[in-house]
Amino acid sequence: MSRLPAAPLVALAAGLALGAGATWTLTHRAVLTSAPSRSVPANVASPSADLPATLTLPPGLAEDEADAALAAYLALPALPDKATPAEFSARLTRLRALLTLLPAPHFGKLFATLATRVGDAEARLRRAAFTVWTETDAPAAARWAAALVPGEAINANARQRYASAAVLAWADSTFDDAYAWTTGLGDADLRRALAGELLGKLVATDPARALSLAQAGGEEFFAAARPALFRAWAAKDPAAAVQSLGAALLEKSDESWPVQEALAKWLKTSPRDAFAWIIAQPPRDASRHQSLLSSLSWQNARDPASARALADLLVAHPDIADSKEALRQLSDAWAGRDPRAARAWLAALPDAELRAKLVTQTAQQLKPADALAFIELLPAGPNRTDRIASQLERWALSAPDQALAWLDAHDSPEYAPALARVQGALIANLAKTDPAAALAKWGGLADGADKNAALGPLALAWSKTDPAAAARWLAPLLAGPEANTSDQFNARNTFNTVAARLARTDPQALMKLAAGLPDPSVRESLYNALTQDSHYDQIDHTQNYTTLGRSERVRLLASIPDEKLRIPVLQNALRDWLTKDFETASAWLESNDSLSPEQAAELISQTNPHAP
Amino acid sequence: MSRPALKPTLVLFALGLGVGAAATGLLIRRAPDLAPADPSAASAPVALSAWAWRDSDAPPALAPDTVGPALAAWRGLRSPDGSPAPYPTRALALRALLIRLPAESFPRLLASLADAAPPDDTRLRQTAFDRWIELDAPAAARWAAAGKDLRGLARQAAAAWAVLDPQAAAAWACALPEPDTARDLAKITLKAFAEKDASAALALARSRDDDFRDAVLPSL
Repeated sequence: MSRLPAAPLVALAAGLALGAGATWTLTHRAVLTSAPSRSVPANVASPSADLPATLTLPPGLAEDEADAALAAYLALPALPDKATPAEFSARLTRLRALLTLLPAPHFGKLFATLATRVGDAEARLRRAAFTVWTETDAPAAARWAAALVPGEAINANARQRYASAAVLAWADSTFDDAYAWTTGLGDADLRRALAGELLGKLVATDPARALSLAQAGGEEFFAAARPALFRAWAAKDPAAAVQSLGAALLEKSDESWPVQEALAKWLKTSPRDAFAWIIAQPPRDASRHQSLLSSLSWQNARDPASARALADLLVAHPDIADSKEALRQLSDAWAGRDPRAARAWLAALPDAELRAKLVTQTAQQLKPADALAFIELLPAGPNRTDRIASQLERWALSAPDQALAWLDAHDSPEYAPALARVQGALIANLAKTDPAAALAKWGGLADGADKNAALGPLALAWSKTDPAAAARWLAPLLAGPEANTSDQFNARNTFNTVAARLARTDPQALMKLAAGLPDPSVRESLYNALTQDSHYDQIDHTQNYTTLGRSERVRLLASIPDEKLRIPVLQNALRDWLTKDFETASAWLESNDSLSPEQAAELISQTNPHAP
Repeated sequence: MSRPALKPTLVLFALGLGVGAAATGLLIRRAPDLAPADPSAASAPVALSAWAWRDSDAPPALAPDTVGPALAAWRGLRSPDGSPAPYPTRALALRALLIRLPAESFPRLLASLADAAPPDDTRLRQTAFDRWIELDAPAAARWAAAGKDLRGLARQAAAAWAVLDPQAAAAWACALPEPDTARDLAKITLKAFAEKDASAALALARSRDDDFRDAVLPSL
């Protein structure tokens, strides 16, 4: 076997190697041309020898290039607040691009100018750049912020926010250095604020050390740092935070809310322990437990499991002051969020009296269907029947189909009164807009209690728009053999309200209507409506004043043709007038012969305020 | 060494030089195509477009075929001991990546951070999301609203969208299928829309059921 010459093979191999190497090097130099002066930080390895260290960690610019790039950016005019979103975005992108190349020492130069720029747009750019600085060189950023003199562009609050962001970023890498620097600050306010934030950061991971450092700062410092410490700690371990710092914070009302939030979380995970802590707190004043338990009731109602746990604990501790009020609030809030679960708990509550009380109160806060489901937990009887009827009556006005559907699905003699009230409410509702249709519906009802019950709502609703027509319709129904029944009593009350509305709106129509009525007692009811200055409307719950003056009303009453009615009605009206305004009323009496001289003298003697 | 012996050696050396250069060049050019579909596995070379600050205000966006390797490179940042790179390094690298990342690639980046438990990753996700909102607030809002446990991000994006186009943002929020999310985001966007067109905002508030209306009306 002949041997191949060695030199040509070596030359071929060398050529291959050199060609490959040169090509690889040239290709990758193209990538590096943008930033040849900074290498990837020594403490970071790129995942690939080829890729994209230049992309993921762009090399920084050399000193002179960095100065030039910085000068180019700072030569741009300050961005005005009226800049469009597109303009702002373009500037922000340019700034961010610069920051990827800017060596850390140049951030100070950048901020020397940025700190002088006023306006919201520049402030937003500055904040974006500062965040990058805190990631690049947090100690330098913190020192810059602490050395700032508050001015037009950056006020004292903004300065503190910058310092806080920087020192917290610094603490991410070396807590001890950051804390030592902070506690050495000359500015006492800034020192307290930043140290508090640092301890708040530490307490989440090392609470013992954080508390130790805080206490080492003296009582005043510890008291000032306590709220921040608590918030940070409670976010991680609410039970520990409450047990360690909660009592002191509850002493101050403006710092108690975070404790209540933490307690609510603790209750979810360990209700017995949290509850025991609450009731172990010294009740310095009567409202201590109440406000705490009430607040927790509302907060824990969001979570069914902890709502049930808290409810059970409250029931088991009736001795705690205001536990019943807390229970009521919990029931309200829980039922509002999860009515089915709250109802199930109430249904299983052994104390019937407490159950009835809670059911009654809570039902008032609920939507009709839920409220009815709660009311059904009450013991059967007139109270339950009446509450169901009232609820359905209100529901019928807003959603008649749903109310009737509920009644259809609950076919029981107990709900018969409710049906009558629903029908009355529906007919009354119809009477507001279509009295004829309402009358037809009422007329279509079978004679009996339901029909009688619907009469009042119909007449009252109708009288709001046409009291004369309502009174004319109602008047014949008042007389009859059943005049003493409760239905008739209710009808008479309804008529009086309708008459008062008519007297207020159209006294002449009242006089004309009364003159045509055959029943004297009904006529008298109508006339008497004119004797009063005002009427309390039992339905609207309003005090309404008659627009017609007294002398005009008395003149109208003096024209009543039937003397047997005229004299007593007129005496009523004049007695009322004399009581309210003796001089004017007596002058009218003296100039008018509607009453005999004897009748007038008797009235004056009865009402004269100057009489001995 | 005689001249006749030297000449073939030089020819072979030149031939090797040429073949080596060509083969290496070809391999490098093909490298992007060889990047695995799973970006986390990518480690092959990628040809990146160079950028010099004097040439343009900001670097050009990444080409589609470089997005995957770039994301993988960022996610793969390690300290020399093999542990994940510290937060400041990852944040700086992320900011450098974000100014080159096309808007349509943000879901890919955020998906790798969405379920991340470490607080650092939550902060990085926020950094990335802030940038996405600057580029495409509607897309960011849609992504966050469809995600799990991303309500805070969705609120942020919806608010930014409502500044740019309150009508579109409000119409989107009011039509979201999940009632709780719809209520939450509608409160934010309808408020902005009502400042432009109160009656149209009211109509949108009433476009769903009573619970929705009752929940959002107070915000108007």
